[in-house]
Amino acid sequence: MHLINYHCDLLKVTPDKYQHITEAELLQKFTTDGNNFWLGILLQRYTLLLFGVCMKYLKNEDAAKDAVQQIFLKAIIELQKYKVDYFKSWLYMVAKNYCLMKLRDKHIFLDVDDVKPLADDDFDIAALQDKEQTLNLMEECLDYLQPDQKTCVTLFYLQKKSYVQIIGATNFTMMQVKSHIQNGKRNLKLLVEKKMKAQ
Amino acid sequence: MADLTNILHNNNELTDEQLMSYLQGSLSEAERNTIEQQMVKDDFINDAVEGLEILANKAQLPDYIQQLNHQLQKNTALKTQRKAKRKLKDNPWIVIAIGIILMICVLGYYVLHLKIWS
Repeated sequence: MHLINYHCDLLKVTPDKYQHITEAELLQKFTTDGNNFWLGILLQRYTLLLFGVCMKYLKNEDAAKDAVQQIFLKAIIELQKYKVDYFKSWLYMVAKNYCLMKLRDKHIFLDVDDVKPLADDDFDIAALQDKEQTLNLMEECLDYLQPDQKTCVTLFYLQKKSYVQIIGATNFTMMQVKSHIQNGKRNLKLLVEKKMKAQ
Repeated sequence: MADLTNILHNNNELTDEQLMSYLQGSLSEAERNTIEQQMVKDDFINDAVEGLEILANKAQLPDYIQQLNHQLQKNTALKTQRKAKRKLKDNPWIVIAIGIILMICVLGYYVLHLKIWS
């Protein structure tokens, strides 16, 4: 019951009044009048995600809450200095760097796997105009993937199975499933791009 | 057969409500897959979900978010008020004009009273 109530509570937190204003418009309003109120509205849209990211790295609820507050302050100060075009990606990098700095202060260093770079950009949209051709190419390239990657990509993207269902069907761990999907997707992209260039 | 080109395109933005439903486990497998596809595309969402999943007491999450948002609103409102004060400081002519008007009022009042007394 608690669980049902808490997402209703969350909705009350989000100010409906400003939901029609896009991120770009909020940033523009801030640039025009310099009023931090607009940044407050914008940052509030990311509180839950920021708290989650801080929890992932800091593994402590109080530390994560403090970190989110510091990230808010840092974002407000930085946004007063320069213009940010891709707000979401920028905010994620601010949050991640802050958490990694906190861990470094405590002499905790993460494995390379934990500090993976941002996800690859999606395919060039212009190159995808012929959707049918792309789809054929992708299905063709699927056979060139490693068997584990092919299985996970097929289950995930074609059969729309959730992580839990894929774990049940393959006996992989959650980490393995995520890794096979991520690597399979990247390899598929490379294969399709290679084929497109060859044509 | 589902469309494999889904791998290429960005889906709609994930809402807090959807994310909370995912964490509660109240979504269908297809809906879970939709959110997980966004996790694969977006490291921000992926890290956030992984972090929120390790929360010991998820029932406290709305309170945490509310506290953080409340603090944020306070901070941004405070800075706005300070800015308004700063604007006044930046325009000394406004202060001087107010001072002169006040002095005229006081002088006028004094002169009027002098006449009445005399």
